[in-house]
Amino acid sequence: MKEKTRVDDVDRSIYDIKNKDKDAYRFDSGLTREIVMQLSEEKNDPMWMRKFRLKCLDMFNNMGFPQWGPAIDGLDMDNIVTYVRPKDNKMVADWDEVPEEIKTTFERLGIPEAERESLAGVGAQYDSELVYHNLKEDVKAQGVIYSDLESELHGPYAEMIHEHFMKLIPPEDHKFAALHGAVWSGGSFVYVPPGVKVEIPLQSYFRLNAPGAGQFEHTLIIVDEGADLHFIEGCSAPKYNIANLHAGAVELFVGKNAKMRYSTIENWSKNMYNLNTKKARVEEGGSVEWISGSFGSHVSYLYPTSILAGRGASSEFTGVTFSGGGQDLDTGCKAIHLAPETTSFVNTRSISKDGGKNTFRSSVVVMPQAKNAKASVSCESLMLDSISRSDTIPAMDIRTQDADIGHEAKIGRISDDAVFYLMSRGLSEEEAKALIVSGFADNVSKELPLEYAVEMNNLIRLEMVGAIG
Amino acid sequence: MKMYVNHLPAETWNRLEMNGASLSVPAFEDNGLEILETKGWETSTTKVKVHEGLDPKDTFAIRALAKKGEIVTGVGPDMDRLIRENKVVTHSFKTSSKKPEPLIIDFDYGRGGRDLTSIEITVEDGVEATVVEEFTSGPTGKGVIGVQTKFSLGKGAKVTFVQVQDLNRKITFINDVGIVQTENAEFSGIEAILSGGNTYYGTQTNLYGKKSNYRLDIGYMVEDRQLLDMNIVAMHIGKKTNAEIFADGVLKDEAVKIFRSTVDFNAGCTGSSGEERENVLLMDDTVINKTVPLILCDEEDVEGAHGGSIGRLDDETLFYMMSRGMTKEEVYEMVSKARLDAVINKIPVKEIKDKWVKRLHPDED
Repeated sequence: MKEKTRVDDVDRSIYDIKNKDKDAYRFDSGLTREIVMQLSEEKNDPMWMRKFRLKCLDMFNNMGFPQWGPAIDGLDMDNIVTYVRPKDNKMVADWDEVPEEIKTTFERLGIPEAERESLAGVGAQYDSELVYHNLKEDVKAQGVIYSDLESELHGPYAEMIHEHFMKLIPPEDHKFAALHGAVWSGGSFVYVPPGVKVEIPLQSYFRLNAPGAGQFEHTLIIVDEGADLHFIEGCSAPKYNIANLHAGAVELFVGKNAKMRYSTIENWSKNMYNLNTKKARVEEGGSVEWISGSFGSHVSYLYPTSILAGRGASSEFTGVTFSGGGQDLDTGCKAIHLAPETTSFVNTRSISKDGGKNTFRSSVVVMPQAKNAKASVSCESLMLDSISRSDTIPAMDIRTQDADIGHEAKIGRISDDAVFYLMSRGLSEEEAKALIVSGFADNVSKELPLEYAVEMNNLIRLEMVGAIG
Repeated sequence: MKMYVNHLPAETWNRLEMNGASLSVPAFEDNGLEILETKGWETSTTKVKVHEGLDPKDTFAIRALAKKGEIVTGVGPDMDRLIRENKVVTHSFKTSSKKPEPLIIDFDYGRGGRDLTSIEITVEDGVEATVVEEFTSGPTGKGVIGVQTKFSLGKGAKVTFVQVQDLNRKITFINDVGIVQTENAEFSGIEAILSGGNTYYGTQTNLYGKKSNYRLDIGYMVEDRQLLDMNIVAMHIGKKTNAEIFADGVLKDEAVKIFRSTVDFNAGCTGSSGEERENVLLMDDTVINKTVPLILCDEEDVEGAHGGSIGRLDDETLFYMMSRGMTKEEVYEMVSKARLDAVINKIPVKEIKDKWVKRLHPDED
């Protein structure tokens, strides 16, 4: 008799839906000047964006791969398709107008339902294009803009976008920032006017359906003075036997005394190379909170960065990363203190299982002008077996005496006593460990809206417990 | 010769400039080592062992050597090459005596110059030994100096290794230590860095034998435009091995310090534990402090931890001291000396301890 597990009600197959994209419009694979020009024409880019893309391509070709992180030998840009557009593509504001197959996919992922029940707006990207974008009327009435980035390049916010686009993540940052600059497609623009508090979250969901494709969405969010926004990002893809690539970018501009919370549940398939870049710049009195749950991808390089540019600016990073078999996830964060009275707090947990490799990598930099800066970095790692690996690489560069910096890390295994206790209460060993690991990851789950916390805990249980009973 | 030293076993972002250090060194002279007869120690000479083709940045190859019971040092394989290229003789010291006298090696670089010394110390099974190296120069010496000290500890051996450095600011000093510990061997390192110019200090222990233990206490003061570049590695190979790395220091003026510390749990070292801790007091806005404490783990059944603090004295302590009549400068002076005192007071050889206590507190009787 098969053992009944707690994951009976979790359907793993929702993440593995594959829609045949035989009618989709695809570029040739590879990365050439012609492909970038073709993309720019498809997008009807303004001239500055076209030139920018070509400059980024040159930079990409002249930069080397990073040598300090997980191997990305399996990623061959010649085999990656940088643009895939679904048949009958157009962005709509009504789910009924979304092509049936795509709509069904998002329905099974729970996106329309989430929008109805708990979100102020949703953007849904499928392969390289946004297929759905909507913002509730009462939020629009507050002056909030939540739109697709590409059309806003020609709209009333064109100049604002030009001023901000890839200024926090310049292409010279690293090779995959340059790649993103050359082939970015899709993504959202959000503007929250001064003093406006968006009471319920906005969400973007990214679904990469096409095998051998890349997704390069760009999210640009400007939260003006005194405003407040919670933005949730979700992503998934079906698993294929060939590599997929995600090299998206997120730029957050947090104004004076503004608040920004950016939550992500990343559940890319385990053939994905997730080389995503996220940065926030925080002005005087402003704050950014990163909530990050990383469960998917074959290889990840992911380090949300906070630039604390104004007096009293603050950042918090709360994250959990789960590496299973075949995964090499290199995640963490950075905080750069450039002004007085700035604070940064980092609280992360990581779990390694079934041969998974997990690296926590962080840096805290405090410059001489950051008087009375405070920073705290805390990382706990759990190893669930002896075939997995967990490394902690925190770095601190402090250049003023007027700073208080603390750091700590722990690594270990699940306590045998805790497992025994739960088993004595009727749980199987697998279920006991799943429960302990869920509790271990509660630093993130307690910061998420309930529906996302439930999803996150379900993902943990899926990883921990075997097939559905 | 161009050297690459103090490599961080798992690299971080290049732009932080913490992965290792590059330096060019001149040809060295081997000015010999004056060996004073020490009861219980046999002396001889040999040649340094060089691992051909070993890339100092190749952590996997270095781990593979450690798993065979080899000594790998903290500065790295370029130090072995440096010694061989300069044809420096390795001085071997061996003891199998139950209670040998402390082996005290005094390096006086008063006349400066370019000096390179290679030492190997073997402590046989069950022996307890103390080794002291003192590095002084007086105010006039200048140049580039290198010292490599390698230890092999037999089963149940216990070694206390003291290094005290008080060099003037015109000296570049490469201080390289490597240890292999067999079953139940215990190594206690006491490292006091009072002064120097550019100091590159690397120490690596190979906890090869089961139940071997390692403890390192470091106290440092870096001021003016001094550089202190450190690399401490505890490589856990055997089961139930333990490592503790504690560093307390002070930075003043335009000092630059980088502290790399690694606890590396290799597969098979079940039941092992490793702890790293660093507390740094920053006394000026012109200092640069870099800290990168690594825990690398390839084994489930271990416990690793690190912790530390960087910054100024807490306001409460400062207020309390100043309310007792001390100036802020006096409080900082007292606290910074206390950090070095804590390490100096661990020196097990009374005459040497007293000498250095007096050096730290010249005005006290």
